[in-house]
Amino acid sequence: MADNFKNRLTNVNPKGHTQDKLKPYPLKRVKGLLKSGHYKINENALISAEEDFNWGPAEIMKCLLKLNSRHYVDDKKKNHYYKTEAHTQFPNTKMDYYKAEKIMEGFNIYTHFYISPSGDTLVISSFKEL
Amino acid sequence: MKCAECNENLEIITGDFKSKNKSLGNITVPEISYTKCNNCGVILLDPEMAQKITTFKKRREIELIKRIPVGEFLTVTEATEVLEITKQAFSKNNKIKRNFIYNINMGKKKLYHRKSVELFKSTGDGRFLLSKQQKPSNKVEFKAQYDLKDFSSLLKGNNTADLYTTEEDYEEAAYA
Repeated sequence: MADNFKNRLTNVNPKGHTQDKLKPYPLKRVKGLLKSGHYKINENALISAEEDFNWGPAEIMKCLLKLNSRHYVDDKKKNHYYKTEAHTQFPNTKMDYYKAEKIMEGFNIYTHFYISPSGDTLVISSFKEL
Repeated sequence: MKCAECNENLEIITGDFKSKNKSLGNITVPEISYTKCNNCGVILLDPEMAQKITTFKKRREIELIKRIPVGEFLTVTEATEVLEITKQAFSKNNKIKRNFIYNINMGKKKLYHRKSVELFKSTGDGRFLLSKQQKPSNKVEFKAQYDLKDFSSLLKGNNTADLYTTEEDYEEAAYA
């Protein structure tokens, strides 16, 4: 249990050095951007949501609003937050990954998103079946 | 805004939007505004535009399903027999509820497309390409490829499932 906690606080970067683990975007902020319509969907995410679940943007948004920030590894049935990684292109930007089992209509989803460097837009990069 | 993949500038484009769909193949949705990276091709859509694309695809899909002869559809009982599951399991199946099997409403009854049911049984997804031909990429190519007489004969034909993907050009030509 203690190891699990320790692992959550550190991360190993590509060079093998441990670094402070990035904190995810507060879900309250993510959900606020969703509710206010300040978000964009990557075309590939839209296509995979349609292929895997026959969902459109309304269902994607409804599903994202159900996400919780509890660690997925602790309880895969109930928890959703998976990891946060530094964005490969934008400095000071990170990408949050979520895995959610039976979150809506019995489907298991995998998604990742980030908030644009300007801070005003949520970008859904991926949304597909887990 | 910059592209998340390559950090290049994104360009806002308004016009025809090319997309793809399991049921319709490659389709063009008119009057869509989207953000595109000219370097890596990443496309970002606003919720309104994404909804417009989804609605357009669904409408087209329904149009094509409605053109399939009723004889090709099964009742719920027949569909459950093909799938070898109970009616309860059928009605509770998430994918069936989400129209992974093509269906039509006949009064209060729902009918399920036989081929779609069989496909669902083998692959877990009953959706397939509803149109045999893809729409040509532009009007000139379209007119060269098909003669209007061919279209009228096609429209009068019995095998309505062979209809082409309906697009703006197609409708323009068909009703000209």
